[in-house]
Amino acid sequence: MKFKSLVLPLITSLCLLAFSYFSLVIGTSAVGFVILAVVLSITALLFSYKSSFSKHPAAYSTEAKS
Amino acid sequence: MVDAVVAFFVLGIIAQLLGAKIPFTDGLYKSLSMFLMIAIGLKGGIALQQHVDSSLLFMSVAVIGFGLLLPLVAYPLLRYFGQLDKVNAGAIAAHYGSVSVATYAVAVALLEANNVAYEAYFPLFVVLLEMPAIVVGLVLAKGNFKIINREFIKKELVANQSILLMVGSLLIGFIGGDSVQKLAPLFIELFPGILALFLLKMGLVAGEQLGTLKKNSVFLISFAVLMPMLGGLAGTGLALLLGLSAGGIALMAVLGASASYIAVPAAMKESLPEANAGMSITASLGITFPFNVLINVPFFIALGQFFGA
Repeated sequence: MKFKSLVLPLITSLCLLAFSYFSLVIGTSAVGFVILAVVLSITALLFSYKSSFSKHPAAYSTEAKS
Repeated sequence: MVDAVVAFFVLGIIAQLLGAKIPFTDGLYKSLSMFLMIAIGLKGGIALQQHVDSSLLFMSVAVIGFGLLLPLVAYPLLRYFGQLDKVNAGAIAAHYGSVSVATYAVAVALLEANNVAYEAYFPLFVVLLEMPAIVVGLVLAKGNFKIINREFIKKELVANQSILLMVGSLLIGFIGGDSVQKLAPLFIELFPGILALFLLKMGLVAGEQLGTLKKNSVFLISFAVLMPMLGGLAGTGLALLLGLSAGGIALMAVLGASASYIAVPAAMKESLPEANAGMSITASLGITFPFNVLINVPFFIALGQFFGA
């Protein structure tokens, strides 16, 4: 996995953390945002680690399915 | 505490993931979505009888501009980070610029359950936000305006099922006067119950879509989570500029955050058959819809109350 494909998951995780902070400020639950941020970050890093050992890193297929 | 209506969505996801066979015919699903569109339109029309004024025209133009802007935000993200081709990026951008009536219905149900007031004319905004993104998405995918011809306008704008049902019901509610109250027992009082049933089905479908996610879907998940947050913030900003109430701020944010999975897929199937429909629907229905219903909608309602206070 290229560094470029890690950027969006990391930006998203940071936004989720920012939303969790806003949630606390406005007095609502932040749990969902935090869990999602952690899961997304770990998934992106794991996938990046795995695909760095793969000879043929997979990209998301854009082929139309029948 | 989880809202009882939303809990049926979670039940649907769990049932699907556990492999339970809950029979839900396509006909029933379509009937329930028709019910929601008619109920939302009627409610808006009844309320509009007392609230119509000239500022609505200015707000409508701003809302259409908002609908044109959202796919222009989504498209570069899809092209640059997802490295998708123009056709698929345009198709997904159209989904994220348009709106989800079910997400809107959930937000309305939660607002009413919490006694938060909102502007009566919002169903009009739901209708106005259906179409602009489809046009922008198609232009981005094709790279020109040739696809926006008379046949397209007739099929996708005039004869569009969601638009026709919601605008028609809105007008009936508006001009029907006191006679509309006869319909209230079905379309107003049963609304939360029917919405719960609809969300059970949506949970089953979302659970199915989640199962199709592959290991290499990290980009798609990231996009489908990030875009509703950006759209919701943009919607909040627009609502503040328009001076809407706490409920209005929440609803505009929810409209910005939601992604279409009924009107846009049908339009894309017709106008962009080469686009990967599975990818768009997985993102909008499998990821964005559950994220919005379970996390984003309660957040934007709280944000609306924070700014509206």
